[in-house]
Amino acid sequence: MAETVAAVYFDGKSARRQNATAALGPQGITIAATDGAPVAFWALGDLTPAEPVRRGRPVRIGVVHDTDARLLVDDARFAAALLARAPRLAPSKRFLAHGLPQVGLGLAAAALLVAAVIYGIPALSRPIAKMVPLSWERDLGRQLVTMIIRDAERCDGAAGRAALDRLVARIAAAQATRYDFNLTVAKRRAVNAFAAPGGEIVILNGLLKEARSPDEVAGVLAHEMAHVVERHPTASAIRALGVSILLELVTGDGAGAAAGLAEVGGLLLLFSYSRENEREADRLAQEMLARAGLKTTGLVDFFQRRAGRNSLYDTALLDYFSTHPPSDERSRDAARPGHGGETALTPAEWQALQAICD
Amino acid sequence: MDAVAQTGPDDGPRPGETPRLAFEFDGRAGGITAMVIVNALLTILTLGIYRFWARTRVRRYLWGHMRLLGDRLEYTGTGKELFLGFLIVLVLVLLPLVLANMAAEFFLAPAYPVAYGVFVASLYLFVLFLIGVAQYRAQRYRLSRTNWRGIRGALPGPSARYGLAFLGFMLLLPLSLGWTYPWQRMTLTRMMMNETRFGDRAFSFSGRVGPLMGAYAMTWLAMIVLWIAVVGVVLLGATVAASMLNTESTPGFWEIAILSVLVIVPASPLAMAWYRAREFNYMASCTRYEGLRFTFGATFGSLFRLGFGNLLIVLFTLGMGLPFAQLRTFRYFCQRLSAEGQVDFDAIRQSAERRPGVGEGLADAFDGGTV
Repeated sequence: MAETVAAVYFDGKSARRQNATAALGPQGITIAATDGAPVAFWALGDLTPAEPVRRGRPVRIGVVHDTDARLLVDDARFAAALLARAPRLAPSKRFLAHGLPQVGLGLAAAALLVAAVIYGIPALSRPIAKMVPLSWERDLGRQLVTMIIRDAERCDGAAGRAALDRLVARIAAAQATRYDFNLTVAKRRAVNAFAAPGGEIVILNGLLKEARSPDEVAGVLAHEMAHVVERHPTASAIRALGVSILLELVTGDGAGAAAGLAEVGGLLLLFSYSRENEREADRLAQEMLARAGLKTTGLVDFFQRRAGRNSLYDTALLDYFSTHPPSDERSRDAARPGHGGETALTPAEWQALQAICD
Repeated sequence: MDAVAQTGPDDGPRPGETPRLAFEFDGRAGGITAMVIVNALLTILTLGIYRFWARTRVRRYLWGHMRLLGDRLEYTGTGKELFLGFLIVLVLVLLPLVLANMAAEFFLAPAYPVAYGVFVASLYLFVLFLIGVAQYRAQRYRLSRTNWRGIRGALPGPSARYGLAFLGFMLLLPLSLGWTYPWQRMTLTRMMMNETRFGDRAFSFSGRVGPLMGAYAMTWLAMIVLWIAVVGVVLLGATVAASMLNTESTPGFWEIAILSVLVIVPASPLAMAWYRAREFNYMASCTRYEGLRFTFGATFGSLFRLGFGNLLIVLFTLGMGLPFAQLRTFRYFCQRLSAEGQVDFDAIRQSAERRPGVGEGLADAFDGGTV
């Protein structure tokens, strides 16, 4: 025979505080009015603790089929008996059944997030980049270049320009591609060059000054052109977008995200290529140079000289060398093809190119 | 100690005195310390994803330690609901916004700068509107997940209307040099309070701007004085520092502006405390529920201490101690809020309003959120 104890019952239909009795049986709790009239029967399996049931603490309990109804019982023996009959209501069991899965789910989601950033987004970025229409790429590239390079920084010495265009045309002719290349030389001291989507390539004047021969410039140029051909800049922009979206999931800051994150976070990641991408570009650059009948040693020379001098000139985001493979390694990789071929520019052209910003 | 022990007597008024309903709060900082630490750790470990469950646990504690007429409130929301709410907003609102913004920046900006300007301006207006909508919907979710004596709260009514009003007032605020602020507070509070339900009965709010205008004018002038004083002190300090370092340079406009803002932004809510105390007390007195009239006993000193303490707590814990600040706020409000009058609680029926299935996605994304 179940013991009957005093209880308070809220029926979930009105705000009436109903004094009642509760009797715990093997099947569940029988709730009755103080005059003995039956009110409800809650089966053990249907009970939902409004808070975990603890020994010596008042019991506050609900039921699945009547989500708002509550039964309060302040009776130590009742709590103990209830725990004996329905151990799943105990805090430790509640933790195992609900808390632990939550934590596990959260950790799994976080791991998934990290995996998505490291593997998922890069893996998806190439196939997606292939689907982007050429006109979009061009617009995006032009827009990015105007964002990064101010008009006043553009160098347009006519003779230097002509030499550069001729060199680009010669290398481009050696490679079937849907892109038209558009070169921008910017008056900055950093030793750097980068490619934007759609055939936009920027060379900073510092690189032209640092280079000791036109072949070195041709090597860097071919390398950036190879990035364009392989659509690395577009894939990089897609990665940046993906990461900024995931970042929002983490921070939950939509207002800030909608306004600024897309730009700032995007630029941070833009033009940061994986080593694999760099090797791809190196390899293709060598092929393009060889097919164009040019010397292929320039890129190697340039990197060998620069070895160990990373980030010396420029601490900006777009530092060319920080994202590139170690120079020793890449000079080994790039040293394979023959040393034949013509020098990229005539001495007069080379002089004009180096003076393009003067 | 519990509700069960105090059955009955509070309901019946004693002859010759107005029945008084007190709100009690017996939560302690010690009661949530372990929870706050675990929450912070898990939130960091899960890169922030656990925050929805963390918030839920804190709310369960805060709600569960608040009593009215001896009966505890209960928070029935779940972390899952908050998480799903956020995911929905992420996909349906945030993503399109970010993509539209990016697309406009790259494709619209170069060709049509004017159209792009219009687009960006409307984007900011839309986000302001969304903040208003977020506040309203978050309140709806919290009310629908608040259970007292088996009865839920509710906040029906279109959240878009509130969002539009919020947007309008946010535009008026700078245009009026801040003078529309009391009007904004009264209107928005009325819009929300008049829709607020407990069970099948509605609250009503009858606040007007007039009674607060004097206090606000005083505060507005005080803020101007504060601003001038801060700029003066910064200017003086910089000049003294410059002369001691024997440099000729005088502080530039931007340096002064930035330093002043750094001082004034945290100081402003505290300077507002005097007005805020009057506003809270007045708002409470304008609020009715059935036969209940509310009174609130905020004072400048106590509100200042509350705000200043909370500011320090949040600053020194890098935001992770926010639940402690919330606990202090809950205690403050419960201690000082009371109601007079009679309500036949037995006659209040369950709310028939639809409960939102998920919650607060917009608020998580666009509004810092309070609790």
